[in-house]
Amino acid sequence: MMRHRVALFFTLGFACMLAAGWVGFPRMLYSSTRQPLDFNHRVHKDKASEKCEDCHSITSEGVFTGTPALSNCAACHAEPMGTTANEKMLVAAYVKPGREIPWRSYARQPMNVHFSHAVHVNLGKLSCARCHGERGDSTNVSLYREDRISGYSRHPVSMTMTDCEDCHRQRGVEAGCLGCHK
Amino acid sequence: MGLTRRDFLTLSIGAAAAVPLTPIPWKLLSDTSKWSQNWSWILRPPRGERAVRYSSCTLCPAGCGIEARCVGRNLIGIAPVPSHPVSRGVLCPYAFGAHQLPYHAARITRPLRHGSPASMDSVVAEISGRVKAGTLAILDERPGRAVSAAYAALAAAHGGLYIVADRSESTTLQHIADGSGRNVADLGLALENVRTLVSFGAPVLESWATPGRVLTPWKQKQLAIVQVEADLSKTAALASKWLPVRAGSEASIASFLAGKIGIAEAAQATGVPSDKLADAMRFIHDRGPWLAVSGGGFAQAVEQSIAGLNAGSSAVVARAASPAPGTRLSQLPNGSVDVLLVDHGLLGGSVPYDSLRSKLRPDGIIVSLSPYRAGVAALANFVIPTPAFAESLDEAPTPWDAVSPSYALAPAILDPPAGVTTALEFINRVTGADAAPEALIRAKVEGLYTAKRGDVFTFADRTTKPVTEFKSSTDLYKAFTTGACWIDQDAKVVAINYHADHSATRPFVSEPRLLRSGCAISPPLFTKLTQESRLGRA
Repeated sequence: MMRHRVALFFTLGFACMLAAGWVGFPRMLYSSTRQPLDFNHRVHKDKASEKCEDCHSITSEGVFTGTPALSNCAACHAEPMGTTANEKMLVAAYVKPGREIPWRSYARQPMNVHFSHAVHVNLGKLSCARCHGERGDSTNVSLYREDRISGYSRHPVSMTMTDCEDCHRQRGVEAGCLGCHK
Repeated sequence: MGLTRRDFLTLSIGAAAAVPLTPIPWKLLSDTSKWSQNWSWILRPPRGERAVRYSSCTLCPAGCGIEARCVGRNLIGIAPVPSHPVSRGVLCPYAFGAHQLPYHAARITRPLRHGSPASMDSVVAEISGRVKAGTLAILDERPGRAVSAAYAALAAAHGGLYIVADRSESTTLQHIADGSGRNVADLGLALENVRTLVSFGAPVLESWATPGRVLTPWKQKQLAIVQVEADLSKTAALASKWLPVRAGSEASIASFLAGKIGIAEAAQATGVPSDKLADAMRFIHDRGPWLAVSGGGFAQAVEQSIAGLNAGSSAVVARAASPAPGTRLSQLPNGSVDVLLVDHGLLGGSVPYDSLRSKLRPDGIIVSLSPYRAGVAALANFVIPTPAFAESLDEAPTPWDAVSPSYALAPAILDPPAGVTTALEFINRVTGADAAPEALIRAKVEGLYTAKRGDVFTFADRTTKPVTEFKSSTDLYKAFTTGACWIDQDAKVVAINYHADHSATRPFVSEPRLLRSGCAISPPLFTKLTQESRLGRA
């Protein structure tokens, strides 16, 4: 009887901690915030025939421009191009006053990481989806989930050092520690 | 069934056993390490527009082309310019870390008088009084610039001397110049004619001469290195042959290579096995033309023996005449100067304090013009803060080892902090002169334009066009300030007929080196790499 009781409470404690660790802890750790605007990548890809690099370009000097500036959007959206609330907000709150959209970046890497888009895209011939997932086909933006301790975003697709190492190993590319941690 | 203390304990043990199987400890560890990188006092480049600006590195005389990566008005990285006619797409470790230098811990932004902060006006007044009453000397650690000519003129106008420092890396060339009755500024090294570089302690694969002229052919296996050095330095580790001689026995290797002593005697004197010496000798002679260079710091007789190995070599050439170089520091009589103004350059200088102090009269003063309180500036009577790397318009004249004359500019990329002044502006103030650095540089560019010689390589599009294709000197100046290098590859070069003459001796200061490249400071990252890789042993 005593042995069964010990096993019961041990298992109960074990199960509760697993549940807390895998379900409760992530909920506590991340705060959720909406992006300032919703964005439909698929519409831009299909209807406007745009490619990733039309907005997220790499300059001739190899500098990745990152999240596009408002001027990219304003080139087409000087006036509302539809009747949705998002479209109206884009023009009224950002394009007309010339205010940059405060997008929150899902993919910002910690300060000790150096990542060159030019090397990976131009030399390595990696597609954007290899690291960012099928974001180009998404119809809305995900919730921005910020880690309350580190301050970085939880990326919708796994983007860890292990992922980098696996890809480098598969392709036989040696980068060494200083390749990324300069 | 009531809950007992044993039940709680069992529950807790079960929970504790499950903790490693949850993300809690691992995620907390990872997150706290990232959190610790974002403390407010840690320097971080602010977010902003990214841009690339082209310039030239002016940390040493090589003047390599650089691609300065900026975020807004902040410099965040340095990369080489491919196809650059001088640097050939190569940079040394110093240049790669140059963007850290403006934030170096030893940086100063206020004048110092005997180590204590002082106002610029009071310092200028005190030094001006001393200049009027005594003998002035201006020591230029980066000669060959347009402002160097202004230093010489200002010193002459006050009855003083314009002095240039003896560079330890060009010791061999200096001895060849002395032995052949030439000016060292008129000599260059045709490294392209050399198949093997026999280095006596010179850091030829670390930071020596124009790095691209050594590292590129070495990487392409066109140039081999035979390193004669007691320690396993970085260069020794990478060299084709390393002769680990006993410290102080380098002269025996020079005598052996010159055929003056036999292999048994050389082996006994140096501690290097005779089979290894024979192998190195065979390697050097089988490969063809070779050049012997010294890293400096040896006794004069040793330096002369090393220089003597190059007698008849086609690698030592006379190049187009350079501006008058001034008096060498080692030639300046001891106890002859009252006020010594020292332009240390961007790395805080490499001349040892004692060799400067000995030139002063008993109550003489040293005025260090340096961005850092390091090296001589840590001990000088006065320290005047000058702009750090990329904080002012600067020049990259012909490197000491080059065969063809070249010239480039390094525009100001960063805003200098309040309180700093360029060396020339300070010297203007204490001597009452009004030489303007930019006007001098424009005059130099005008001279290049008027001479209609040479080509200009533009960094951004990597194209070369003759000077004659520029419409005006203003256009040429504009090209220089946005990243361009002038080079006259058609300038006349002749191999000199040098024969070692040991009677033509002259006292030469053997300078101890702070680092292998002899600078007072290093970029923080480079310092860490230096420590870890043992690059930094003197």
